[in-house]
Amino acid sequence: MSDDKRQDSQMNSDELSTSAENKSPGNESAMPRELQGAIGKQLKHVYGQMLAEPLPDKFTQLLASLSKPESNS
Amino acid sequence: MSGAEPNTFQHDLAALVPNLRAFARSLCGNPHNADDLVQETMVKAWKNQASFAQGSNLKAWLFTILRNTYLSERRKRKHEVEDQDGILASQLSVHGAQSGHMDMIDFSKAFALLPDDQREALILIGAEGFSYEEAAIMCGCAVGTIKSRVNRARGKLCELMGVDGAGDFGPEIATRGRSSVASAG
Repeated sequence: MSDDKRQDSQMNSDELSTSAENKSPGNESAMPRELQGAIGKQLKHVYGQMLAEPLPDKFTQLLASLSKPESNS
Repeated sequence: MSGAEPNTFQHDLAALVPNLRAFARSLCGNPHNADDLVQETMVKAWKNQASFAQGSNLKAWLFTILRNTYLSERRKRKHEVEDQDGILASQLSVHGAQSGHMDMIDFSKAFALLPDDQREALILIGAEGFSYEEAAIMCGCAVGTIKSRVNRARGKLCELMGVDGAGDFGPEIATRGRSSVASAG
């Protein structure tokens, strides 16, 4: 079957990631999917709060000044 | 606005400013510095908009400019930054190891303590939804490097927060999980 091939390609990708900097290749699968999902949700929640913050005036002012022809010259 | 065609670049840039701010703050921690970084990025992007390939990913392009700007500035003040990070991280990891669940540090604090490259990878993949391939191009490294940074970031977060199961992540997530089960059943 193709199992051998699959194992081969898996080994190759592990080698790629470990050669760069990963000290413990076994860690890749150590975290349960459930826990990964929980971290992802927390992350999106915290990040979403930052995204939702009102934009200070300085940014709209900057955008306006950038689009003025004079500032392009 | 003189009846001319609306500038889509300006429009798209404006729409992505919140993302730039959030990414900048995740990178450099300090909100004031982050906003300076975003403004600098916007000016650079505007000046170089001709080099942006129409139809490609503007967010990835802008993030790359912001990232490069941040890194070149940080190189100038390298010692300062490294010392601060090192001292803070060592203090908090000792604290975390001793305290267990009672006063474990919260997600934002743990997130701030991640090594820069891991925090960045986690934001790009986990929060902004870039693919591993896109993130690798933006960071100028191998796809496997991004994957391993994300994995180590997740592991480090759990370690810092003293978490070893999804149930430890607090009521918000537990409730969300339950309600989705309830609606499914």
